[in-house]
Amino acid sequence: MKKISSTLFVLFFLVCNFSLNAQNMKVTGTVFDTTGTRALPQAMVMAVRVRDSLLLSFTRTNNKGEFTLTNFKVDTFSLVIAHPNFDDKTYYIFGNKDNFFIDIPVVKMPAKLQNIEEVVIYANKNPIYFKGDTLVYVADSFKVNENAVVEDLLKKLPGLKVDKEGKITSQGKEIGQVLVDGDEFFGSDPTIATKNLGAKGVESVQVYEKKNENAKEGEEETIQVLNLKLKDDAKKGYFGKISGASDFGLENRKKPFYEGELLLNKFDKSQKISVFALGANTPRSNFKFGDMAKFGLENERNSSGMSMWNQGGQNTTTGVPQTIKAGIYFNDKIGKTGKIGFNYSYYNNQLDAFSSSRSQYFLSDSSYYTSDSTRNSSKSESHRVKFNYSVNLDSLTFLEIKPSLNYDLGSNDNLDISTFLGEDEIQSMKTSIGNSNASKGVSTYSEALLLRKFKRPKRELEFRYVLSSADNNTDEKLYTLTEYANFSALDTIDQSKTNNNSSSSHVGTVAYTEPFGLKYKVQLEYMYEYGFSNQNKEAFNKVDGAYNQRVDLLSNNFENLRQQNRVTLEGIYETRKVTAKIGLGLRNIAIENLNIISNVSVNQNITNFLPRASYQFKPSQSLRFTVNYITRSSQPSINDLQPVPDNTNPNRVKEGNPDLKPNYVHQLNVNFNTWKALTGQYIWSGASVSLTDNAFANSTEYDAFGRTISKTVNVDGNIYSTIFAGAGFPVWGRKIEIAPNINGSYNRYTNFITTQVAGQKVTKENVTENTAIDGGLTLEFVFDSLEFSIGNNYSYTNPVSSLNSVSNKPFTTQEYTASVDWTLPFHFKAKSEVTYSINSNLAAGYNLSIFLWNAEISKAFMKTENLIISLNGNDILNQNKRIQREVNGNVITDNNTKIISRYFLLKVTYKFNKNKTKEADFSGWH
Amino acid sequence: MAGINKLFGVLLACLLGTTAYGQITSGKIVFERKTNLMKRFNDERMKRFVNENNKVKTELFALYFNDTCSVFKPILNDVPDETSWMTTKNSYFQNTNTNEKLSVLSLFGTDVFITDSITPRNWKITENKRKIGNYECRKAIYQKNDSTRLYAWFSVDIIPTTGPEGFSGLPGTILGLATEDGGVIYFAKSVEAMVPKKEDLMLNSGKNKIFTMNEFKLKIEKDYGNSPWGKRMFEDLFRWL
Repeated sequence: MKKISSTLFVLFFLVCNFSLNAQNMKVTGTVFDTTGTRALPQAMVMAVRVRDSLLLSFTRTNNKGEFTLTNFKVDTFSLVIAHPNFDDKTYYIFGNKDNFFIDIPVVKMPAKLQNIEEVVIYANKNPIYFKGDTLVYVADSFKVNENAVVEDLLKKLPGLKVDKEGKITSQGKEIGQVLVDGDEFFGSDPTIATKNLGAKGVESVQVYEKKNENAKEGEEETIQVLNLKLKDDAKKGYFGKISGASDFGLENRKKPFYEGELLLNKFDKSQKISVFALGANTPRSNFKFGDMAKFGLENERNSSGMSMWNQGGQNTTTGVPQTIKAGIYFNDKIGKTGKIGFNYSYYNNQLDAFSSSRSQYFLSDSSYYTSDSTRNSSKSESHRVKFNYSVNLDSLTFLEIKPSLNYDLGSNDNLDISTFLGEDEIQSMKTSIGNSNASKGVSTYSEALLLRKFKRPKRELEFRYVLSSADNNTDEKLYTLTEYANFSALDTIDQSKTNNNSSSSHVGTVAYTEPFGLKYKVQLEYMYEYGFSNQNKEAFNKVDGAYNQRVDLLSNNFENLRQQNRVTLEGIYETRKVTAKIGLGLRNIAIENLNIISNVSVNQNITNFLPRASYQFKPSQSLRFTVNYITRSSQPSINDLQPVPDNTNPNRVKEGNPDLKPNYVHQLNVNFNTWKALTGQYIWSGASVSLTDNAFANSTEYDAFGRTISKTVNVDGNIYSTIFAGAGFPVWGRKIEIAPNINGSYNRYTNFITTQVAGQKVTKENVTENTAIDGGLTLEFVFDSLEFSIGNNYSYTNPVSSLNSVSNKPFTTQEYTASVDWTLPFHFKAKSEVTYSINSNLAAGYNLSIFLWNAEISKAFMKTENLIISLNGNDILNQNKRIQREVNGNVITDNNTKIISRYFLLKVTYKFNKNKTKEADFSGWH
Repeated sequence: MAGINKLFGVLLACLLGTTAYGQITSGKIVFERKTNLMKRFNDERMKRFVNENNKVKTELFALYFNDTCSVFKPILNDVPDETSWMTTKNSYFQNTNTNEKLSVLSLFGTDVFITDSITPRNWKITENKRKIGNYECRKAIYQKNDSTRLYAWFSVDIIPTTGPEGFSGLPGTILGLATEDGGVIYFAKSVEAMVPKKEDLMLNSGKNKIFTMNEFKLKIEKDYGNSPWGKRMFEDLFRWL
């Protein structure tokens, strides 16, 4: 009802004699108080069009209470006059070409009413208004197309409107919430349900109004709800991708290259199942990052260790591989907040590697050469099961349990032919070492987390328990022949060995965080670790056709037991721009290394402080500076401890050291990053340095031929440091980006070399200092359908060894790259990249330049572009080689591994989904 | 309990109803902005940043005004804020006499200065009224485009035509502004009649480049328009313009 007391209908039909502009309205008047005696200044006067409530114009009265309202077209409008001390006065004015100037000489404002009735029905709003009632449309009575989605159905319903953006209005009111069977469907965006669910699955559409429980001040108190009642079989869907590729024996008729891939995701209410399979004998060994994200292959992403930026799928580059992997993921919800997940994966990898290397060993006054040729064939099989369950026990308590189990089988065949040369490059010895082993192991890793929050924000209590165990048995055969230059006789080793390892560890952590005011927090953490490992090694010589002569020198049974207690107190200061933390840990570790055979035990009891501190300055979202200092200590592995020689390679025997102490590392990192959104310029830079005391280092003893026995020992003062910086400068309207980068590193580490000098063993310390610097420049060009980039990189490495200055030979590598990505008409796409690398100052025969060229052309078919056929050429010029120089202490090794070079693939990819629409690829964050 | 609350509400309403407040031509209004991050970011992948506990984000803004000029700007406090990047923090200067507007957009921490004339908007006036603080407000609706509708509650008792996020064009000051879905709401917490200091009614552009609105829109569209996240940013930036 109208507020009768305050609303007045006045119809003016006065014709004005002097019209200036027949198009515009003009209203003038003078506003007075209720008595009509006192003029009201600053009273608000506005014109609101009746048809659609549009505000046409407004003004204020002057000191004499006068107003002039103009500058709007002739229309039918209400004239509202308001003043805080009075009630509103409203006039309805029907303007027309004969009625465009109106003067209201005296406007008397009505007195304020004490009781304000708010219920008003207005003529310009839709007269139909549903409240408390529910409208029900039965879906089947409205005809829709075969593949129509819910949105198409809604468009057919009388009274409902769907706009371009998918927004729904019912009787003119917007639908605030779309429910599916009374529940939200994949979050609160209504269009996810209406654009993805098939219309055929809908049984009925209900529209009603409900109280908005989340209403904040200023929000509407009720919202319109549209509830889709589904037929039972409709809450299901699927999407997937299948691809196959082969070269049909183009390179090698007997062994054609292939790649195959299957990914399928099926959902049913909250239940999700993903199935994956991949098989390849090309370097490709993993799914593309986008596919892993889209199909939820969490464990593939974690285990592959690849970064978000490596979009192209992981490659194996150390030989000729064959990869098979397959698995299933299952996820569902249990109860209101419970989530359950299960994953089983199977991996089968084979790798054949042929490599040759040439190493130079520098001793204090002499050097040796060895030349190795290795053929290695390995197979591994793995079954992995993971399970996880998480639940919010109440609004403040979160529980998560994640057990997992791996079962691994492996076998390895290795044949190594080594030639030992003296400084004069005359052969002194030649060996042939055949090794084969088969291993079998079970390992588990389980984690439980209980997180408790409190009413007080930021107060937190966390319990964490990690249980891990491993059991691994290896059977090994060793057969070697050694031929000495001076003797005609051959040395032979023929042994069978077993190596049984078992370990278990329990780690429990309790952490409590208490806030002080808004900016300060204190965290107290206590950690307890109990770890046990056992290694039992036995070796047998072949005597009379059977391996039954135990070799005591190579056999032992050894145990390592450790208990660690650590308390850490950390103070945290946090503001909008600054986060600073300072903490101190105190830890005690008690270690017992027991040699069961000799019954000798080594006990260590070590107490350390573990300080840490960090500072972050973040004045804006796009600028960040951090300094971080931590200390940590880790323990040697049981292989480093077990005091028995490992003669897997009899030329390079390794022996453990039960006296090894845990190491102690100081690490300092500094980072600075900035990005300017307007220009697109960015800079990233940082430096990192670590200093390790009691580091694990090798002490190596050389015999007259250059064979070695090495043992792990503790050394102090190892340094690893790097600095890096890069930047991007977009120019020419961001069509070109110039991106330079520079990196430097300095490493210093110690090892020990023992040699025979005149029949006496002499041990010398060897300090290696490696300095390297590399830098490059990339230019990227981005146009609408064409992107290309060119770049280069130059690196210089200078290894300096204190033992023998002859080994101090700097070497350089250079790399030039270019790539192009071109989107062509008719759904064609072309891609190509070339890399040219130049190696210099390596050993003779290893200074190679390699020109790699890859190219791909693809075309998408069908209306949905879901079928893609492509032709890939990898290393089209057949040049690929893997060449590496490693400088390790006093050894320089140049390595050349045979890897897959040229191959072509014809690839067919088909993507599909239940609704037979275009299946989009994962496109990152949006 | 509910009954008592209702009774209290009625009493309060009567009390407020009988108190007559005068008109204001200059002063300072503190706005509280509540953003429902859940509604703003409904992407599955955002769930690791946004949860039931932190979904409502509260920030403060100040509006200084006199009869011709007004400045709206964020009140930054020193409390750490992990979700600070999820909301905009823009400032505006408006002069109704000269019809000038200077907007300062914070584009990932970089201030961008944009001059423009005061944005003309088509407001629809409804008969809905509510009190915000002691001020009676009328509800107006602004249909920005097919998909965006905003509600504004303005009080004719605060005379200058201004409001939060550079909104103006109503016969009074906007004390409440909300997107229709309630995802973002500005609400006046306090209204103080005072004469703002000169420096509070200015935005200093320093030596920065000043864009016109068209220049800036073109630039952003060219630089970021192609990427899906760029489109999203675009939508965010111009939500209030």
